[in-house]
Amino acid sequence: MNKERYLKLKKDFIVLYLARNGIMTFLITLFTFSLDLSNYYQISFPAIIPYIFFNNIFTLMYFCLLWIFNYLLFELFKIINDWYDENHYQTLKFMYHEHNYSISWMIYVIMAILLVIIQIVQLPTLFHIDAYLMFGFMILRSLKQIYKNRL
Amino acid sequence: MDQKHKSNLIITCLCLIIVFVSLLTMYDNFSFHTYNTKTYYDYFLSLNHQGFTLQDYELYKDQSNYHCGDGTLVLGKIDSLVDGQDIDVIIQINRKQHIDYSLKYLEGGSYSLENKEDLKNIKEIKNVQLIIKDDNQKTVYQHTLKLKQVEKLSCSSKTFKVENACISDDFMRLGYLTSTDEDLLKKYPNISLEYRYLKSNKLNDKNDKNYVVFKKINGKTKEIVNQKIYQTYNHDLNQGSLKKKKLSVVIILSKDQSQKSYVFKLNFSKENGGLYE
Repeated sequence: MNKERYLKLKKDFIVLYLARNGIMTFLITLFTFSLDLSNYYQISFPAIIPYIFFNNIFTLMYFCLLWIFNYLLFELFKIINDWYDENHYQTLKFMYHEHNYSISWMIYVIMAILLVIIQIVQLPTLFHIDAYLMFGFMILRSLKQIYKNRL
Repeated sequence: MDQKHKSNLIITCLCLIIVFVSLLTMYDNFSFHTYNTKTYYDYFLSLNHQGFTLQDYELYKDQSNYHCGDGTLVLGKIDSLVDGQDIDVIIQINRKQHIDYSLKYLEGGSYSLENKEDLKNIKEIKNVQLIIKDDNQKTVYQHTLKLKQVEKLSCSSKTFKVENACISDDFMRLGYLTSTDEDLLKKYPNISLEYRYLKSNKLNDKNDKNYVVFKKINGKTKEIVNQKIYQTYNHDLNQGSLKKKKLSVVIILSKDQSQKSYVFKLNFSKENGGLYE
């Protein structure tokens, strides 16, 4: 019985693990909307969450659309980043605590340029917040990959 | 890059482009329905004490509108005053700010209090008092006013919305019409708004004959839509409480005043409060 429960828990955990990018991008979208709307209406963070989901269909649809967009953007970043890492283009290699690390620095340069462009371009605050959070998430993922691929 | 990664990349890019285009095209509708006018406060003040009455004195403020006034004040008996004496009627808010009206005292006299200028730096109303001072600035009457929060109404379609409409038993702030459909507004230069209620809630709401039109607004589309100018309506209580009636507005857009061209209706419903207070 205990083993069955353990297996079920393990299965649930695997499902969560597989859906981690979806969950994370959902949280990023939620945080983006909450921050933007709580600034606009000058009300607290928790109070704005029902407004996102129950105010009207247009707000909810846009939330879902931005979530899907964030998810796809992250998937695109993963594909490009992994391909870049595999081919060892413009890599910076160094040794730390008896491990060899390899950083494909060009991807960070491209991201920094994109971030500056987003900063300059006049976009609604919602997209600015979303872009910063997504870039943060992407950098975290690439740092994880550097750690994972160390020799 | 191997074939599998290539196909993944192409599919992701395609989906991303589709979603991105949807985000761009839907933004106007999203922002129209999401970023509404922020109301800082919205109250009706009333008083019924020893012959002194004040009805539906409005205190209202959002990002672009401020309104205080329109109430009817009836003065009771004050022993120290004689008819015709100069008095100052003061509506004191949060014990700090005040709105002054210079009147001549008349026992049982009815006065209409007009709209005054914006009171700065007030974010919420906690306490409001009616103070009457005689010509020697001596307080002869003072009483706390009852704060009645209005019931907000919402009313929208995909591209049209009536904002800041609210209701009490005998009063309605009609709100203002906003729209994102610029092409339609340009096409029809004239507009007519017909505010109406159903004669009885049991009647068929699809039949136009079952409605009473209580307010008509006619004018140029560019002067009425997206202008944040609102009107009010005072209801005769003998016709029943306005709050209990099914309200709607018929919007008639036309190229020529005599020719009906584009007609649709929007139903008012009570807004779930909490966000704006």
